[in-house]
Amino acid sequence: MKRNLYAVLLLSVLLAVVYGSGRAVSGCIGQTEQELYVAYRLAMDGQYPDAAEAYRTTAENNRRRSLVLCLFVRRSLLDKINETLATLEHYALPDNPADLAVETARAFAQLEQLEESFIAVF
Amino acid sequence: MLSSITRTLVIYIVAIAAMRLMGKRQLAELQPSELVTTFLISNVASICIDEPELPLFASLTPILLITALEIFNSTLAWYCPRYARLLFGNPVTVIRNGVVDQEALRHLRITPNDLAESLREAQVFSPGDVIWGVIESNGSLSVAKKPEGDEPPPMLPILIDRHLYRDNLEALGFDDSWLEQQLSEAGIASPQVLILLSNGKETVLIPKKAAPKGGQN
Repeated sequence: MKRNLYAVLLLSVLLAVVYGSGRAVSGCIGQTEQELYVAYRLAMDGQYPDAAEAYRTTAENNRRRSLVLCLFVRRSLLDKINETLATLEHYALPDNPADLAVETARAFAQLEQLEESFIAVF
Repeated sequence: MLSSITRTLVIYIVAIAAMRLMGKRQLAELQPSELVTTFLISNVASICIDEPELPLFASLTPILLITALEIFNSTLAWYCPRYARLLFGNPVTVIRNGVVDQEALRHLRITPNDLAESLREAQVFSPGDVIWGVIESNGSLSVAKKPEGDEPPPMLPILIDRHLYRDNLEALGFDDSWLEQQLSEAGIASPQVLILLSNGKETVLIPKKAAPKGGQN
């Protein structure tokens, strides 16, 4: 029966796409987390201009990755993380490390939510 | 706005492809499971178009998954009559020789008005004109009218794909031994019968092919 063959093909393609998109989502989020971590380390080491630049680059890169991510995760979650990342460079100053720590932690939490929104079973 | 147009186009194409893949059966029969499938697909599709916030892939996946499941489900039902009966239910006789089976109507929660309306839709204006009226598993009413003049009586199903219509057998004045005799004359066992019909005078027996290939919907 041809239809069953089509259904099997459809399921196989779906599984492959779900697997591929899962990897893509994890990969994109992992890259952003890595970049965010590097930027925060620079700020903690007192290299605030480099940290601000790193935060800006992270925000730009994440916005670019959002074009792919929006196919798989809710746009509102993407908007949220992009907004948070866009503000971080302005906290990378010597006089407000606590704010920077709080906002960076918020960004990490939002990235985690983003990943969970795709991977969570229920 | 542009994303809304793109999403509508994509969902439109995918929904049509999904319905096409499920076949004409999906459009014509609408058994309970098929009705659920059609509702689900239409709801998922409309949610995806209405809510641009939802990822496109998250909307396409359920549509394609439901399509594949529906195809597997109908194939399984084709190969396994017991499963088909569990899934689709059995037809229920509500009129026999002009007499309405009120107990069956109560059991099906069909009001006399519903029955009268369905009869009128079938161009029958009195239950007295009906030899056999049955509520099909898709909820529609099928009627076999009493013959007029020299017309032969309508054929009634006796055995269809392992399902014995015992009330028809008894209504025609036959019993199990008549059925066994028909099967032994044809040289087949009851599981090998695809369709056995009779009107009391003539009998039609269609055996299953040795290697069933299933229906192309």
